Amino acid sequence: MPKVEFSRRGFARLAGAAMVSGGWGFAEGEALTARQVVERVKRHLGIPWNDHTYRDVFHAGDPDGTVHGIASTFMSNLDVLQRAHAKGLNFVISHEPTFWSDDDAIAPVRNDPMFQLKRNYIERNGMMVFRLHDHWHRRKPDGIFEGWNRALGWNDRLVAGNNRMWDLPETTLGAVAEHVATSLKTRSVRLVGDPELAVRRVGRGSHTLDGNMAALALVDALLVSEAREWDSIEYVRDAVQSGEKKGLILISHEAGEEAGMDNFATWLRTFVTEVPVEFVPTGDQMWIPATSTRTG
Amino acid sequence: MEMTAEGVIERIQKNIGSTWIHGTDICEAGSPKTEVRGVATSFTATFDVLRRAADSGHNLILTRERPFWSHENTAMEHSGGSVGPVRSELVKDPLFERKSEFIEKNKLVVWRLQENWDARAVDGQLVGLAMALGWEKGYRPRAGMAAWSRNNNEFDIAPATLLETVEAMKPKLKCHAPRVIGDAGLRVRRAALLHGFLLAPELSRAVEDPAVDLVVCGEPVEWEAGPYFMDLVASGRKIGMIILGNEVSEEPGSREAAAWIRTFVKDVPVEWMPAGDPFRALK
Repeated sequence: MPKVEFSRRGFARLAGAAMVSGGWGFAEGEALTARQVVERVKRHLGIPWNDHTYRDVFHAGDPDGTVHGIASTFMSNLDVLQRAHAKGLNFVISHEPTFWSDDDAIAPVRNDPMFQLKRNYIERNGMMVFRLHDHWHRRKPDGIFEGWNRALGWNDRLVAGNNRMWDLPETTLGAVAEHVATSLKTRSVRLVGDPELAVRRVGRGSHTLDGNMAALALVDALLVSEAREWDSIEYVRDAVQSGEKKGLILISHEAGEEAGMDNFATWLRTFVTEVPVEFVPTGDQMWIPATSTRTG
Repeated sequence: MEMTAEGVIERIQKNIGSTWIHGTDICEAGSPKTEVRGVATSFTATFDVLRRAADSGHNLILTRERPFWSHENTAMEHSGGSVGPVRSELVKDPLFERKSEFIEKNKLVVWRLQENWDARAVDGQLVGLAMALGWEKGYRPRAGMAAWSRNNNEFDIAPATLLETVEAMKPKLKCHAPRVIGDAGLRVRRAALLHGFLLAPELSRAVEDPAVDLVVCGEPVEWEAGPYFMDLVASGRKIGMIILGNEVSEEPGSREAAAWIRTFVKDVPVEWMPAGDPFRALK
């Protein structure tokens, strides 16, 4: 059992919470703060915690607030916060930022009406938001890809010793893209290259050009979630136009990682049992009109 | 009269109307001393653009993006910019080699024209995109801001649903796979028109006017402008977003650049050579 640690402040809160929270159905000594949940996560990850991370920290709410339920999600969008709140899940653990930049910088958005609305929503409803990005990726195996690979349904096709590359029975670029769209429930898939291209080996690319250059050389088709269009996409287009038999399937960031936070909720439930833990999907909200042509 | 590639650039510098920024608008490939027989403008110098330019004798290609893809820096990493290899690494890539050989063999010159074009008071990219859409008559400039400057970008458009609006835009822009956020049946009539890479602060400015019920943009970063927009919708704002793709949103600006260059480069042909939408949608 993990050691329960109380800060002086946390203890005062606990005493206060105990008087009003009889309805939550757990005894005084079992009240759990968001900080305690994070400490437990750190202990169970099996890798050293990087105390210098700017990502994997609390970004909103009071870390010593009492947790009534935990929502695991890809990105703590307002609509995710609303759905979590409706379910009584006041601690949101999000893979991606809350205030629209990688470091969740407050200074550039302080006077933005959406920032004020969102932060007020979090505080008014006694919610807390913690980001878990780097460490969930760094875990062995990578917690995002463990869940995402399962959602894709290709675990028995993985190339030995690699969790980002698959050998499929011969198929086409278009058919692989259809499979990806269906398995990940996404309506915003885009292709570069010939949909009839013969494909056997598929590799997961990255957000960056150097990652995609390295991966493309090893596969018939790259599967990428969010990459910059002026570099990665044009690199693949040039490869195709120069005669290489290659293709690219581009999916949204959500579709590319969301299943990894469903996986996180499953993992978290194995050692956080006092409160409900649920996966609250962010969902890919982008759609492509059905009449869009595949000829280009 | 003979004109070299750097001679064309000097004329552009004289006509740009502001102090030339000696930054990223550099000769990317080929020799600046090459005699120019024709000028091509494009969003980016793809292999296909280079072939068309070579075949038609337009041996100076002015390009908004880099022919060798990488921005070679990490300055924008936190804001969704890309980390790309530096030149000393890029040269080891077989595709780099093939592309530079093609440029050399055909005596092409590729010169970047982006930051100085963007520094003009009038945003040529905005003008080009609005004209390609046929929206210029509905332009609603804000008071106190220079007309056609980058963030002065509102238009009255033919009232229609979000789906009808995106369907009408596709053929005009040759857009193959626009992505949309919002209800297909949402009625829209006032658009904020943005182009290229989009981060949250610029989107925030674009939706300041509560009359705006449609955002049209190029490439919103999916952990920045994307979620900002979704939060706006969740807050109750009735608004839609049409995401054209970076090339589709910027390419009409290259046509505008060609038209502008033609006003002072008359001795050789100046042509717009669109790279085209790199994407296609599923069936």
